[in-house]
This record gives sequence, C-alpha cells and structure tokens, in this order.
Amino acid sequence: MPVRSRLRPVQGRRLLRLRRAAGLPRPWPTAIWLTHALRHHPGVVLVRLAGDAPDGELRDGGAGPDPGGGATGPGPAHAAGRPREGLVDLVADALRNPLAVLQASVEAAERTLDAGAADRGTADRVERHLRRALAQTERLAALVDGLLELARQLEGPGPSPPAPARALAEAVARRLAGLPEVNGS
Amino acid sequence: MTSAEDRPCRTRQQPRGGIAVVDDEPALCEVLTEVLTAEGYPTRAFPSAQACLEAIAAGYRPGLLFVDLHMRGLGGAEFVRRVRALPWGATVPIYIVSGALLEQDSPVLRTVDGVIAKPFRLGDILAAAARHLGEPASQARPTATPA
Repeated sequence: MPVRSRLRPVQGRRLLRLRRAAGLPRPWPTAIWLTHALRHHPGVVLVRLAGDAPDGELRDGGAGPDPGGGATGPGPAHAAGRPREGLVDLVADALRNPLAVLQASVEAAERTLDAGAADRGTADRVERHLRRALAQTERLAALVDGLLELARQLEGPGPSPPAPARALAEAVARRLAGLPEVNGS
Repeated sequence: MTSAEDRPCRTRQQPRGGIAVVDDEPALCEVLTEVLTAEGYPTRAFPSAQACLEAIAAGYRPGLLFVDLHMRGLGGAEFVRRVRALPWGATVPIYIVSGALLEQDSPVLRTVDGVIAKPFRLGDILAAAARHLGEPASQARPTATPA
C-alpha cells in the first residue's frame, strides 16, 4: 500500500526550519529517524532533496566514483573509511541494517538446523530467527515504500523539482539499485 | 572485509576476553550475540557506544569488538578513538561493522583491524573471531591420540 504523506512539502520545509531553530545538531540524526521520515513525512525528505542538499553531498553520496570497488561483501562501496553524513549514506545505512539482520537471521537458522539436534530448543531457536527475519522484510518493505513515495513526489504532477534535486534523486535510485554511476549528462 | 589481512594479529598478546558487539540495532545485537555465544565465544551486546565505554570503565575487557559507525549519541569513530586512547585499548582488535558508505582515507580506518560491510555473512564475523580469539572451545578439534 503506498504511503501517503500527511505533510505538504511546505510544511516539511517548516519542520526542517523548526528543527534547525531548535538547535538540533544534524537534520538527519539517525537512520531510524530517516526510516520514520520516509514512512510518515516524505515531504520533509523531499525538501531535503530539493533545497538543502549541498553540492558536496551529491558528489560524495551519489554521483562520484565508487571508492569501494575492492571491498568484499555484496554491497557496493564499502572500502572503509570516513562515514559520510549525506542523505545517500543514511539511506544506505537504513537499508543495509535490516538486510544485515535478515541475512544473519536466515544464516543463523540454517546453522541451527545444520547442527542436527531436532529437539524443542532447536525448533524454538529456528522459529525465533525466522520471526526476526520476517520482521526485517516488513521493515524493508516500509522503507522501500517510503523511497517509492519520495520518487513519486519527485515524478508527480506539478512543477518539476530543481535539477540538483532530480540529479540527487537519480543518484540515490541508481546506487540503491546497484547500477553504475552516471558521470556528466 | 578490508585491511584486516594486512595487519599483524595483535591478539596473541591479548588476554582472551569475550566479544563486544556495539550497535544500536537491537535485532542485529540479538542475532550476533546468539550465534557467537552458540559458537563458544562469550559475547556481550551494547546498544550504544556510551554503554560499552561505561562497561569498560567498570573493568570489562573484551578481546574483540565489533562496532557500528552510525549510532545515536556517540558515534563509532569517536568510540574507537576513545578506546584506542586507553592503555588497554591500544591493541585490542576492533572491527567496524557498518552499512555506511565509507572512504579509504578515513582516519578511523588506520586504527581498526578491519571493516565488515553490512549486509555480511556470518562467516566473516566468525572468521574475525577465530583469527583473533582462536577457535572456540566448542569447535576445537581434539588432537589425535594413539589408539
């Protein structure tokens, strides 16, 4: 079910200003806040994309060369080092955390079954791992819904978002999809 | 994982402590604690860097730490810096476990033993544990004995 924002972008912009006026250190304090924002206030995220993303964020988080080509693991760009504070970094962290739990839970269930003991304790452990995995799929689905809603707002009727916002959104989408970066236009 | 293979194994001088998982993702703490404990590694999970620092101040001495970067409150990079500043923490093995996008020129990278990217395979975690803490008791193979 698509997630509908109850906030219009202008309200989101006002919220962002309020956060700043309140002296909050970062407009995107945690991945969890981002998850909440994507679910309930995609307009705020839109404002962030449209008006507040500095050029450096776009360069660092989306359109720049992938610094992590040699890293192991299934995810892109993990060569290690400085954590980046941009939206792309937070989205990546927000998505990869439930993915990590999902993968670890399924592997843990597999290991438990491989251990061979078919007792009640084994069944309970496997059930717990699978329940945890299922919870992560729901969490991922909500995140993806939020990102889709964000994309819908960017693509929807009305005036087109500013070019930097579109470029950032495309960079986010490409990175999330694991597609190669596009340099230049 | 990066850079861990390039570093000497420091834990030969370390007392064999348990494993500390420092991550504000409760489900990940839960599954890692369960798996590592089942494998024979005593493991404690901390929902924040501050909680782990408090335990260390109270005398907790893990033999290996898995640390997230993005956490509420004290971040992983600052946590590593503070641990490294302690006499005990200068050589304790620390792995960053993060879903963040990272760059190679980070100062924190020079002070940790490796980076495990989320999502990871449990084998990566267990390999790091075995490398620094040795095979757990539950996995140790008995030496051959004459019949």
